[in-house]
Amino acid sequence: MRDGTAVFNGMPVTPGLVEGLALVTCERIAFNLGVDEQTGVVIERGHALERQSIAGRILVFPGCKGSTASSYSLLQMAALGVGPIALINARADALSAAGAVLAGIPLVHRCDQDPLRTLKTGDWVRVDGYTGAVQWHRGGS
Amino acid sequence: MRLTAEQRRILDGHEGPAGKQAMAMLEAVGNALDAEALIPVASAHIVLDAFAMGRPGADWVVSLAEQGGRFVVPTSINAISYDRSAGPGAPVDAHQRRMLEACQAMGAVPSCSCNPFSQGIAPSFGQHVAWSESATTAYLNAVLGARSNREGATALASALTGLTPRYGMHDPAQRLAGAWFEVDARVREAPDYGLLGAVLARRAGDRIPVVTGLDDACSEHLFGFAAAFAISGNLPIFHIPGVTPEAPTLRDALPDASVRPEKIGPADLAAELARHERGEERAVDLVTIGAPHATIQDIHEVADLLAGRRVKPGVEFTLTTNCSNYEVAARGGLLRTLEASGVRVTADRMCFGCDLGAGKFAHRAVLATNSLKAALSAPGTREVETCYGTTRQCVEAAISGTWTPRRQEWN
Repeated sequence: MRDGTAVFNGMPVTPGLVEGLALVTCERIAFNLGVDEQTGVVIERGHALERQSIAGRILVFPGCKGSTASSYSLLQMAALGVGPIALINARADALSAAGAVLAGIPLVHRCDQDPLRTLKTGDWVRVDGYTGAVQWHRGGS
Repeated sequence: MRLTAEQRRILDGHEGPAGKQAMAMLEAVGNALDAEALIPVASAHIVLDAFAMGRPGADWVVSLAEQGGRFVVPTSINAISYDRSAGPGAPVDAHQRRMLEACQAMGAVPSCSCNPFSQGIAPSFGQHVAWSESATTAYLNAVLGARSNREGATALASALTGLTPRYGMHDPAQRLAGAWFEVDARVREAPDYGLLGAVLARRAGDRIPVVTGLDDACSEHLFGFAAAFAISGNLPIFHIPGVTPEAPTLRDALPDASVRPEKIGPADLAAELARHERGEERAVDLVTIGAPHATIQDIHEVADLLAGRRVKPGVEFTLTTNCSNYEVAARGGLLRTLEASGVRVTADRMCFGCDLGAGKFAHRAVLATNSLKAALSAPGTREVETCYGTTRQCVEAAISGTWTPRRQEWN
């Protein structure tokens, strides 16, 4: 662990251990209809992440909204290699929890620090979906 | 969440890979939402969304069937992406068909409707079920008094296991209202109920609402209301005293007497309408009725309003329903009447989303509909503008080619 690396703890929902770069939004996400499942690009008009790709990112967001087919969108994106590699929710819902199972990616929520304020887009993050631990430091690499 | 020894066995894969995956979904959701246990469900209604699922989703559903997955409770299927009444040679989405066939092999009824209630598929009061398609969930909780959360892929997991985590709508305390809305407007016609459903969902946010000041809602009105409510927010239930079975009075829905009413008036309905149409005469390209799927009553109404007149050449008028109502319409001669007028009637296909290929219209197409759900969802996925109003307005627009705004009489 390099200097400046901090840790906070959440509750693990789905297992897995991955590291990567964070993509953070305070807006809820509709994976179905709000994201192009073929590319992983957010297409919802006016969304804070509009035109950004969630592919390969550790996606930090409050939870899901909208269509209940969103879990399937996470499955499709994972199979096509354009989905997020882990999810951190303020509070997970049925769509993100079932979607993380289908996509085979770790999901952590209800953290002892607000992940939406603590983490910033581009931060390096390691998500432990077995223990709920989230390690991070500012900036990439 | 505590699992029984038998549920743990399924999670560990002793009952096969399909059960294992289903149980993993239910366990993750139950843990995330603080459920204490899994409870049995009486039925499941599953959405096989061909756009969200694509080939990977179809491969997954097919693998469940091939690995021996079987639905252990009565399971119905939501609307699909193609018209099952069309003859051989008509376009069929191959992945959609694979998913549908796999689910039939697992024991589902190929009802293929977003309005299963119109097919007689309806849970009874107090039944715990796992239904996806948010409009059906709102209707079954609020109007039938059955119990379901807004399920997605989890409905398929419940079909495979007969179980759902006990949280949310399965807990009577979590079904109670936290906000009270008094309708201070004359809500009479079907599109008024759609507008009201959308206004209510936005104003309520995450507070379950009870609505007073409504009378005379018929089931078509309530279903349009539930669909607009569901698509405009995230709530699985509303209460209308006297309609909602567990809420004969306001106090049954809202025990907290300190909550004061918030008014919804004509200005709110007018503002909602302005989101869906300009309120001026304009040429229309498409007319669509039946989102959620048209009931027999809806189909009758369209035929009566057409009264033998023909749809204007160049205007596409589609009436979307399910195989059950399609069959009844065919036997009663209604189908022939509608087709003679130039209306395209489809069975099982979801409304509208599949209609517009890229570049079909040189200009931005104008869509007229009596469905707030269609008016809200169409511009999100296609380059269209909308006109929203009564079935009569839609039929007249199809015949004349011109939309005429309605005089607003909510005061």
